[in-house]
This record gives sequence, structure tokens and C-alpha cells, in this order.
Amino acid sequence: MIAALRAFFIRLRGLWIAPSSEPGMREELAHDLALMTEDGELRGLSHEEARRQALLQLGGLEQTMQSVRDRRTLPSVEELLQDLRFAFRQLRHRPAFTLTAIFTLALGFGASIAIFAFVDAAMIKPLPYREPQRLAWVTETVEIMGPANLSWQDYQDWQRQNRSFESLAVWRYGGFQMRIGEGLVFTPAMRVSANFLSTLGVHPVAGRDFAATDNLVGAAKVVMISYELWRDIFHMDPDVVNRTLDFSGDKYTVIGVLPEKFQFAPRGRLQALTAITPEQGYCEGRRSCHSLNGVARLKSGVTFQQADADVKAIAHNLESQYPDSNRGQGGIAMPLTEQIVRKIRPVFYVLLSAALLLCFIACINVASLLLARSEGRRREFALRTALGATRRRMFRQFATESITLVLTGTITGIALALLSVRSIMLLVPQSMRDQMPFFDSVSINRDTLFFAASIAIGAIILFTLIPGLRISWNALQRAIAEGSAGAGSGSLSWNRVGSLLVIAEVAVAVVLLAGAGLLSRSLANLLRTDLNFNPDHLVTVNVVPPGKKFPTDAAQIAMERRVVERLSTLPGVTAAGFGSLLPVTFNGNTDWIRFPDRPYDGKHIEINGRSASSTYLQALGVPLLKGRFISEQDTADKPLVAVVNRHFAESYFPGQNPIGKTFGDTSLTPKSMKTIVGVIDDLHEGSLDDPIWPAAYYSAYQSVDQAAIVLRVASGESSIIASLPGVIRSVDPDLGMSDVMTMNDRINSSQSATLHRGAAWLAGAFAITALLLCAVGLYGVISYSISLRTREIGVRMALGARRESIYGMVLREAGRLSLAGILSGLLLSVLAASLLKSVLFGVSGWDPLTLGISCVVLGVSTFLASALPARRAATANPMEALRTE
Amino acid sequence: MSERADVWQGTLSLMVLKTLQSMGAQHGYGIARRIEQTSGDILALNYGTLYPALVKLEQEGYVASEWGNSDNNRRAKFYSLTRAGHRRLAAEAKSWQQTSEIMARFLALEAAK
Repeated sequence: MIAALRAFFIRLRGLWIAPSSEPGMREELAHDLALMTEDGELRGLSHEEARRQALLQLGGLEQTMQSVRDRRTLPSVEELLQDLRFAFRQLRHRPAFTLTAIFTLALGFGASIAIFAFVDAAMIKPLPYREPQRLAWVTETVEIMGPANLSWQDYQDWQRQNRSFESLAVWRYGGFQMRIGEGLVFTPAMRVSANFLSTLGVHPVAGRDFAATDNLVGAAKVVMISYELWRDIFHMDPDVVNRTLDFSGDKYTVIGVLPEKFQFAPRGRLQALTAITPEQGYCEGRRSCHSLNGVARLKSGVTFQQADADVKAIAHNLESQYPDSNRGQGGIAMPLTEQIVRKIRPVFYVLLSAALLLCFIACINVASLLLARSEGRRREFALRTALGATRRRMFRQFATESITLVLTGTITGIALALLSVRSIMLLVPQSMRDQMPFFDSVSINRDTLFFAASIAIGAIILFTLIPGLRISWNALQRAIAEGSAGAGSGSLSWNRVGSLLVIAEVAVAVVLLAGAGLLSRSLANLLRTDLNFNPDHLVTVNVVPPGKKFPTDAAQIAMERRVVERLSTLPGVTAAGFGSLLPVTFNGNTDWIRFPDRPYDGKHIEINGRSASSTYLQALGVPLLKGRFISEQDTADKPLVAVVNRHFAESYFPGQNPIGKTFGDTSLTPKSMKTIVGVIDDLHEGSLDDPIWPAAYYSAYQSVDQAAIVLRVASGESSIIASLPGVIRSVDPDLGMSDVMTMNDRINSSQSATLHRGAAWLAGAFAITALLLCAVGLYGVISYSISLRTREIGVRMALGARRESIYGMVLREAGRLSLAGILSGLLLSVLAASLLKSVLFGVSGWDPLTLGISCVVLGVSTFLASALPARRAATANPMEALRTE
Repeated sequence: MSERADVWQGTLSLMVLKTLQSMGAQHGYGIARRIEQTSGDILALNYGTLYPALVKLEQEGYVASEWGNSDNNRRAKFYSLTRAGHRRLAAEAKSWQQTSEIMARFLALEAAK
């Protein structure tokens, strides 16, 4: 074995060094020949006779040389190089064929390689941490929304009681206004438990990690800053550790620097981490306040199912232990990857399938080109066979030609993929990249190249087999006998294989076209979703007060009122108001409520809770269905009021008038009781594709929250946006701002819209390419099949057939093929619909309109693709056609 | 010269190795002559087979070659056994002996009938 391997490598090396050993070989043979001749002379022969016999015995000097040469190197590789040279010559002689084939392959391969690069980054390795396959997303669940948040107290119990996790950490989102010199900079940050980084397996590049003591009540405020912050603001000063930073009015001591490019996938672009200190009176001080997300590292050997069962059991125990706060709280553990890519995965799968289908069409196209060409080369093959080329040798020739084609196609494809990855990345909005940091790692890497290599190998096999199988041995013999490259049994079978290829191609194109159509319709539906408010000419901004500037509710409300008052005096602003959460943001920020005089079934009723100023809902333009909006008089010293949405009214007061009804918290504490004063239409609070939840809008003067401001303007949104900072800072120079944009921009750039738009655009691009390739392929097949029948057509015309009937004959043939293709494509589309279902919004997988349009578009383009060659056939001069023999 | 037999497939390399073992370093022609003589001139060696076989043995590491001067002062390429060659020869010789003993027993059986 080792000896054979050794020999193989020496022979491989022999490919380069064999020629230089030639003289030595010659000398060795000459020496032996001389010795033999001398032996002959000793036996009494003449010198000439002795030499003749010696040569005879050697079996000829050159033959011996050749047999040694063969042994020295690998003859197969030498032949391969020969074949390669021949293949290149062949390809160069038919530039039209070669360029079409290479371009087609590059298109198909490039598309699938590019999409695969995204899939690879998102699905295969989205987490840049140690052993990411052991990382779990762990949190509590509630009935209405499934996974919800953990509370700090529950987290403590989970950490103590679990048997599945090596470590369990929690985090929550939080931002700071960081003071640098005179200015304030918004700094996205997370508050974490001390073991957060060690759970992920990440180490600080400078300073220290959090210690357990940092999580204690009353611990000193410490922060870890991001590498970018360290680099851009502190110029990589190693003494940044122990420096004090002003975060939202509090002093934080820097203890460490996060590694470069550190991202925590569910929340991207972090600039700082601080430690959770569960102070009394704050959220983490209460078991019932759920604000945290868990991330855990499984013990080795523990499966996610086991971990999930484990946390569910713990949650169940806690439920009986703390019936007040933990009623209805379950638990869930699942792979962290799953949590991050859940939303985007189906889109990527659809796109990858589309790209692979396109790749398939490209391959079929090239295969039919090769097939057509092999038909034209029957004579050449026959000749080479007659000259002694073995069947294996012929196969190898096909293989070499397809390898040359495919390799060139693949390399061009990879270049195309690089280009398209770059341009796709330009189209992905920053907000989405922040949410899904794996976008940063999209690249043409080892996995991608491996994928490229696999499709290339598949294509090589396909391209070698097709012409190889077609040229059957007997057909070759017959071709020699017939001495013609023309019609006969050969072209009939060619027609059969070629027709099948065309049908497959058309079918796949129908699937792609229908898919793209469905995705576009679903995008249109999404953007046309009835928002129940008027998004046009609406400017939004979140005002962020610095930490301790407005210590009381009254002070904050006064500030918000002042800001809105100043803003409504801007020219062009017709209405302005403030609430807590802008529409089309997210479902969540919920309240648990209970109705008096109703049996309490122990379940929480969970609703979207929002606050609104007296002008907020009017400025949004939500229709008021009953009662009144929030008014200026609903102040803190008055009874609490609520405006509810239609869904709320219909769910909890079916057939009744909800005005005047009350609800409170789950224990119906008197000071939580609110009276419903109005019903508005279902304002879209969540993403466009999220369902409508029951929602209640409280008076912003009675329930203080963050300030989200909406401005209705007559026109000139951009000038209003430009003057916002000045006006807001004139109220208080320390006020921060975020999310300054128009409502339409917000909707168009929302994650769901971006996902749908991206999918629709890409699928559309694939479909158009598929349509083009399909037309080119059909054109090629039809014109080739006509060229094979030139003689037959000539005879028909000479016998008096009219041009129209020739036209009709060709078109009928093409029509039959495309009809068969379209029908099978329809069938496939219906099958593919189940894959699409999860990414479609408001349109069914077998939408007849979309399917119908796709079929018509394809029918028209195949007609055009076959009309050209048909016309050429019909206008040919019968005499010339006959003379082609 | 009487009818001569070609070397049986697969035995040539064993013969070459054995020859080199008994004679020491030897050039191609010398090996060929020795094999023919040992066979009592029954075996005819095709040189177009011998030289590739030598190259193969060398590639596999069983023989080594170097240029030297032959008895009559001509430059010639001498082949000699390597240690791997010695081991290989021992192993192959043993298996051949077994094979021929088995065959001999069967042929004896035939004769006793």
C-alpha cells in the first residue's frame, strides 16, 4: 500500500522530471545493447548480425523506451493534458457556443453561490462563540405570546435548580446617553448577569470580565465598553480601564474592553455592557417583573429537549411556590441559533431553492447545447472511433470538455457571486444588519467554495453523461455506414432527449415565475395592509431624556408638553401628540388586566398597553368608533381612563357597549381601575405581518412612559425633520433623539417589509433570468432541430408545401413542448406552494391569478423563441435546403 | 533455440529481487541474462517488460540504482536491493513456496490415482 502510494507520487512527479531523465535511460539501454551485441559476437556472430538480434530481443529500442516512459509518469495525466488542449481548441473554434455556455453556467452558479453565502452565514454558523451548538435561548412563556421574558428572581431559582446548564446568564436591552465633552451620544447597551460573557465563551481584550459581586444590590456601577468605542473615542488607550464615564447622568467605571467585532446576535451593535443590580423598587427587585432574556450553555451531552423539559419542570414548581406572581408562567429552552434565524430562515430557504432551480435551468440549457453539438459532431466521433479511440477514451474526451466548460463557468460564477454579495449587502438596511449581525460575516469562504465545488462536480457528471449516453456504440457504427451527419434514427432520439430537456426547463421556469409572482403579491399585500391610520405626511421622533434630569412624573410630562407645543408651532405642522410607543413597532409592552364582576379563571388577560396624549391618536388619524379620545383633563389627579381598540371591544365586550366599563390589574387594586372612555379602530401596533392584539391606550398624563412624538404635516416632511433637533434642544439641551423618520420610511424599512421586499426582488431577478435562459434554450433547441430537418423541409416545399404549413409545423412542435412544460410546471408550483406558504402574506400558494399570469408570460416568450427559427425555416429557399446534403 | 516461454505474469519482480539478492548490484542486461540462465534458457525475457519492471520496483522503493563502471569499463546503471526489497523478497518467496508446495501436493494426488 505504502509502496504503491510512493510509486504513484514518484510517477506524478515524473510528469515534470521525466523528460530530463530521458538521456540516462537512453544511455542505460545503449549500454545493455552493447553488452548483448558483444555476447552475440562471442557466440560467433558478425557484429551486424549480433546487433540485429540484440535489437530484436529488446523488442525495438523506441518501443522499450516508450514502455519505460509510460512507467515513469502517469500516462493518464499526460493524456488528460492532451485532451485538455484539444478541448480548449474545440471551445475556441465555436466562440458563440462557448460564450453562451459559460455565461449561462456563470449566471446559474453565481446566483446559487451568492445565496448560499447568505445561507451559510445565517444558518450554518451565525454565532461567533465557543461551541455555539451548545448555546440555548432560555426564557419564560406566557399564554398570549408564548416566549416572554424572565424575571430576575425566577432567573435566580432557575439557575439554582436546573440540571441542564453549565451556566445560565441573562441580559436585557438598555441604552445610555453617554456624555463626551459637551455632547451626548446615544449608546446602545445591554445589562447582563456577571456570567454573560463566560457563558458565551468570550473574553475581554483588556481589563477584566464581570465578577459575581457586580450583580449584588448596591454594587458599584461598572461597564465594559465595545472595541469600537475604545478605538474611536479612547484611541485604544490601555488606561481606559478604571476611567469613569458619564452614562445618562450616572458615573460608571470602565472595567474591561469587549473583543473586536463582538456582537450578541439577538441585539446587534452593542457599545457597552453593564451589570444588573437588582435594586429594590426597580424591575429586577420584583419576581413579577419580567424584563430579562436568558442565554445558557448546555452541559455536554444534554440535549435541547432535556433542557426544555428541565426548565418547564422548574417553572411548574415555581408556579405552585409563588401562585401570585408566577401563575401561567412556563419555560422554554431552544437553540440560540433558532431564535436568531427563525424569521429569516424560510425566506432564505425559498431563495436558495429558487437559486438552485435557476442553476438547474442553466445546466439543462448547457446540456442541451452540448447535446445538440454532439449530434453535429457525430461524424468526428465516428471517425475517431474508426481510428481506434476506445469508448473509454471518448468518454474521457467528453469529460474533459465538460470539465473545461464547468470550471470556467464556475470561476466566472464565483466572481459574479462576489459582486452580487457586495451589492446585496448594500441593499440590506443598517437596522436589519444591526438585528442580524451575521450579515457582517457573509463572504465567499471555505464552505461557499465547497458548495461551488459540489455543484460544479454535479454539472460535470451531467454534461459528461448526456452526450456520452446519447452516442451509443451502434449509432456510431451506423453513422459511419451512412456517412452522414444528417437525419435518421439518431436525430429522432436526439429530439426525444432534447424535448425532455425543454419541458423540464419550461416547467422549472414556471415554478420560478409563479414563486416570484407570489412573493411580489405578498409584498404588495403587506405594504397595502390596512393600518387603520394615515401614514402619509407623518413624522416620528423618540425623545430620550437623560437619566436624572426629570426626576418626577410631573416634570417629565411638563417637558413632553413643552416639546410638543414648540413642535406644533413649526410651519406646516397641523397636529402633534406624544405617546409611549409608535405604531408598527412591535406587539408587546403588555399589561395583565382583569374585569370586575367577572369570574376570574386564574388566567391573565394580556393586552398591548400604550399611553397617548390628548392629540396623539388624532394626529395619527385613527378613526374613533365610539366615545371620546383622551383629553387634556385626564390628568394624574383625575380617575384613570382608557381608550381601547376594536379588537379589545369585540373580544371582551361582544355585542355590548364598552364605554363606561372598567378594568384593573389582576388583583383589581382600586388605584389600578380604569374606565373605558372610547373605542378606536385597530391601530397596527406590531409589524405589518403580526396579528392585531387587544390594546388599551391610557392617558399620557396619568401613566408616564417614554415619549414618542408624531407630527402630522401638510407638506415638506424633510424640512421639518431637519429642524427637529434645534427645536427639541431649545427645550432642554440635554434631550436626546432617536428614530427621526417619516412613518412611511419606518414602514418601508421595517424588518418584515425589508424581508418581503428582498425576497420579492431576488426571486423576481431569478425569474427574469430563468425566463431569458428558458427562451434562449428553447430557441437553441428548435433551431437545431430545424437545421437537422433542413432536407426534409426542402423536400416538402419542393413538393408544394406552403410556407404557412411549414411555419405551422414548427410552431406546433414548439407549442407542444412548451405546453407540456407549462402543465408540469403548474403541477410543480402547487407542490412548491407548501414551501412558500410560511413566507407569504395575504395570498395563497396556489393563487390562480399569479399562476395564470406566469403561464401566459411563459407561453408568450416560448412562442417568440420558436417563432424566429420557424420563420427562418419557412422562408428558406427549397433548392438550397435540398443542396445541403 | 527451442520454444521459449514468456515470464509468467507477476513473477518477474520476484525473479529480479532474487537475482539481485544472489548476485549483488547488477545492471539490467546482467539481470536479464541471469534470469534466462537460471531458467535453463526456457524463459525468454522481453526487455520492454524488464525495464518498466525495474522502474516500478525502484519507484516502490524495493531497489535502488546508481551509475557505476561495469567489468569492461563501461558506464552502466547498477540496481541493488534496498532493505524494503529484502523484506519484500522474503515475504514473497515464502508465499510462493507455500503456493508451489500446495500445487505439488495436488499434482502428486493426480499421479497416485
